[in-house]
Formats: sequence, C-alpha cells, structure tokens
Amino acid sequence: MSPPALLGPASAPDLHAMSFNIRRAMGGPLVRRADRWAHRAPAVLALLESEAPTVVGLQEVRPHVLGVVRDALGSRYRSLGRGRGRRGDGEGTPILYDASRLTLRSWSQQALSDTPATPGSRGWGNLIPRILVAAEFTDDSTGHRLLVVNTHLDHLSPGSRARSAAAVTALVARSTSPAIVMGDLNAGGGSAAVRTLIADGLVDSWDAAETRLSPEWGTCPGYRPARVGGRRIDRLLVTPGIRVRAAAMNNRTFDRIRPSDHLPVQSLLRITEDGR
Amino acid sequence: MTDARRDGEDGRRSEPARVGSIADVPRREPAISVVIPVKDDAALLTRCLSALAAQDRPADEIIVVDNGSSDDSADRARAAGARVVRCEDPGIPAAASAGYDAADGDLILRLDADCVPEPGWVGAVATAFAAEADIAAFTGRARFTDGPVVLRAPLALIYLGAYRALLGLTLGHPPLFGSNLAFRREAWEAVRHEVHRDDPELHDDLDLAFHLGAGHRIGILTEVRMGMSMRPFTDGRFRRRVHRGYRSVVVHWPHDFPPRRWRRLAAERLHRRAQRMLA
Repeated sequence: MSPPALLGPASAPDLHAMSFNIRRAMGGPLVRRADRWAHRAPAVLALLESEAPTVVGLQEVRPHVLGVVRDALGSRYRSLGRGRGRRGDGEGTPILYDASRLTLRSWSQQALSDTPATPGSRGWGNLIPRILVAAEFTDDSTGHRLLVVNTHLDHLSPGSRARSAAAVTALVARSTSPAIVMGDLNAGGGSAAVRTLIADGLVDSWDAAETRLSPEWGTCPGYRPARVGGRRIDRLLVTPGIRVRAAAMNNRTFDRIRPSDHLPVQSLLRITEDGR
Repeated sequence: MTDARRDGEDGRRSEPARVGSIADVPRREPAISVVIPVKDDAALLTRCLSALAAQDRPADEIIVVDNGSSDDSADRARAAGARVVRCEDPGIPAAASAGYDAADGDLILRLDADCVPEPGWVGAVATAFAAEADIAAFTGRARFTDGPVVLRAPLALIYLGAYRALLGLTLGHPPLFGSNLAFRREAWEAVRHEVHRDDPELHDDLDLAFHLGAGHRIGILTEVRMGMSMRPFTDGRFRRRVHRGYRSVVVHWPHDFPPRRWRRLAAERLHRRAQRMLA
C-alpha cells in the first residue's frame, strides 16, 4: 500500500512545480538492481502520475525515456527539450507541462557554454555538454505569465556550475515574467552556483515556503533512505512575485522501490505579481 | 456478429461434468468450459471427446461448435454429452468466437478436434491460472500422436519452435497455440468485439494473440503437452495454412508492425505496473 500523493494535482490559482532527476536509464548485468531502469521505471511513472505536477523539470532523461514519461503523465502533457548532444541526442533536461492549464508562448534550449546556440558545445570546465531548457507560458486560469528554466549543472567543475548559474540568471533577467528556476545543481547551499542564483534575486522555495511538508532531506540519497542534513543539490527557486505555499522533498517509495537516486523537489506556488 | 445459436439442448451439460450447474460450483474453484470448433471431423472429434471425458479434473462444460458439418460430428458430440453450438458463418475464427461467446465458465479452454489431451490437461490449466492471478491466457506445448514415429519428436520441436520464435518476434510476446490454449473469461470479453471473427482466411489463435497480447499477460503452460495429429503436414493444405499465417499477421499492420507493437506493449506493461503500485 503506497501513501497518497505528497502534493497531487494543483487547482488554480495554485501551480504544482517539480524538479526531478530521474537518473539516467541503464540496464544490463553491470548495473545494480536498485539502479536498473527496468526495475524502477514503474516507480518513476507511478510517482509522476500520482503527483501530476502542473510543470515538471526532469534531468537525465534519455530520448527513449521521454516518450515513456510523457505517456505516463497523459495526453494533457507536452514536453520541451532535446538531448544535450550535438545532434540533440543523449540525456536531456526536458520541461513537461500540463497543456490544459498552461499555454506555451515560446521556448528555447541552450548549451551552457560561450556558444549557447551550438548544440553540444562546452568550454567552461565541464567534460560533457551541459544545457538548460527555458519556456515561457501563460497560465490560462489566472492570465499570469510564467518563465520556467530547467537545468542540470556539471557534477565535477565548480567553475562550470558558477558560470552556468550566471547564464541562468542572465536568461531570467531578460524576461519580465515571474520565473521558476529548477534543476539538479550538483551543489549545496554554500556553493558559488547557488549564491549566484540567490544574489540575482531568486529565492529558494524551501526557504520561502509557508509550509514545509517534509523534513529537510538531502536530495541525493542514492537509493538509500533519505537523510536529514544531507545536501540539497536539487532545488526549485522562484522570483519574489511568486508565493511558495508549500515545499517538500518527496521520499516516497513504491512497493519499496525508490524511483531514483535523487528525491523529487516539489512546491505549491501562487503567482501574486505579474511583473518583477 | 456471428449468429451462433445453441442447438436446442441449451441446458445440457457434458457427461463428465460434475453434478449441478456452474452456479453451484463453490467460489475459489473456477468453472471450466472447453471449446472445440469442428467441421466434418466426426472420427477425430470422438477420440478428442473421450480424452476429455477421461480427464482427472473434468471440465464443467464442453462446447462443440459445429461449423456447417455435413457428417455426423454434431450427433457424435451430443452423444458424448457435449453441448453443440451451431455456427453458420464459415471459418474457424467465427466458429471459435461463437464457442467462446457461448461458454459459461470462468476459464475457457480451446483445442482442436484432432487433439488428444493428456489426462492432466484441464487440471494443469486450472492450477496454472490459480497460481498466476495476473496472467490472462496460457498456451502450451504439443506432441504428435500419429505419423512416422521417428519424425514425431523432431517435427514437433521444429514446427512449434519455429512458430513460437517467428511469431514471438512478430508479437513481442509468446504466440497463442490454438490446440493448447486457455484464457480467462474477462480477457475474452475484453477483446471479443475486436477480434477478426468474420475473416475465414485467418488463424483464429494467432489473431487472438494479437488482441489478447495487448493489455494482457500471456503465460506458458509447461506441465502437460497436447497430443495432436500430424494432419497439417499430410493433408495437402500446409501452404494454405502458411498463407493464413501471413495474413493473420499482416491484417494487423501497420498498427502492430513489430517495433511499433513492441514499444507500445512495453509502455503498456510499464503503465500497468505503475498502476499496480498506486493501487
């Protein structure tokens, strides 16, 4: 028996936002059972289906997995974003959204490098290409505009993460809409990357939350039980015009299967001001 | 729709059936219907029915679907205590479907008139379903009971092996083999309106596999083998059988073209597992 959804479908004017590193799908004899996609895929789908976020930024999504995830969320959902490779192949950081609630105005994907328009480009110290996906929506039920940015910062290079964070804030600064920045930042609270994001006016939804629905779990327990005091490397940040009604890290398991080595980070948001 | 009408002897149960109607069978013990489509095959049908009468766990009803026989197949069936359902529409798909529709059991077992089930067949099927609650259909192995003795084992291996390998790839799951086949009544009700029952040039079991395989789990029955005749190789109609095989596959394309069907079935399996986790 699984516990009920943590937040579940949101009703207007609230928005349910989620950032979730679903862990690269892998199989075969060399991958341990807990990490095998075939083993944990049903749990990933069950989690997404039951939470039904209005907008979700996923990380480590391989192309064949994106279709599976989108199918699980249902026909209301659309996805934005390609792989991070030169031909749009490889892992991606797609944004999926409930199209019955949000209308897409524009979206883009850029490489986190000096040549953001060149797919697969790098040069900030990361050995593999890193990307962000950004989308601008109109919330049909309130008329508010909303910018959503989803990214996965480099796991090795602090320099790459800091420059990537600056690229994110530059992108947010170019828009006047209320914004949600989400992703696997591979960096904790004291890092240059997180400090850059916060210095540029973003607020960590966990800090701003009116209600916290979970303990302050580290977001990357690696298939072990979640631990209070672990690093929160997955975050959901918002601009000040967005109220954070609730925030949580989701530690739910399904038939004792952990969906991913990361916990989903979720918040219930309400846009209060149209501009910034 | 097939106009299957029961042949005047509606209420009659097969002789080996237990006393009482299906409604009296205690809960937990599913009622079993056996369906045999037949056309002009009185001698072999009689042999098949006596093998069914000798089952360790007899079926609760035996339905012989007479698909326009001009011999005394129907009379022989009645004499053996089977319920006869007449199906005027030509073709095994129509006949088999009419039989399934008429069946009252919780489990529906299908075999052909030229088959000789081992005494443990019905019991083994019932046990298999009881053990695997989420399997909707079982299909089993077979051996030849006639023809040259030295050929029986290798031919069964090659014929059924090739069938399973080729169609397993085409379907993305084990194919159903009509001479040794069983499914749950709910599974049949889920697909009875979509099977190609009006096309006599199809293999009904293969067609059923396409429809049951999407959305249901199929299991392999390993315990008992079905005795069957080598007639398909000797009656001069093997080419027609192969043609029907191709046709049974191709009518489902492009919707069920292999990679597309595999992907769809994999996604559906995942989805079902996710749903079970949320239940």
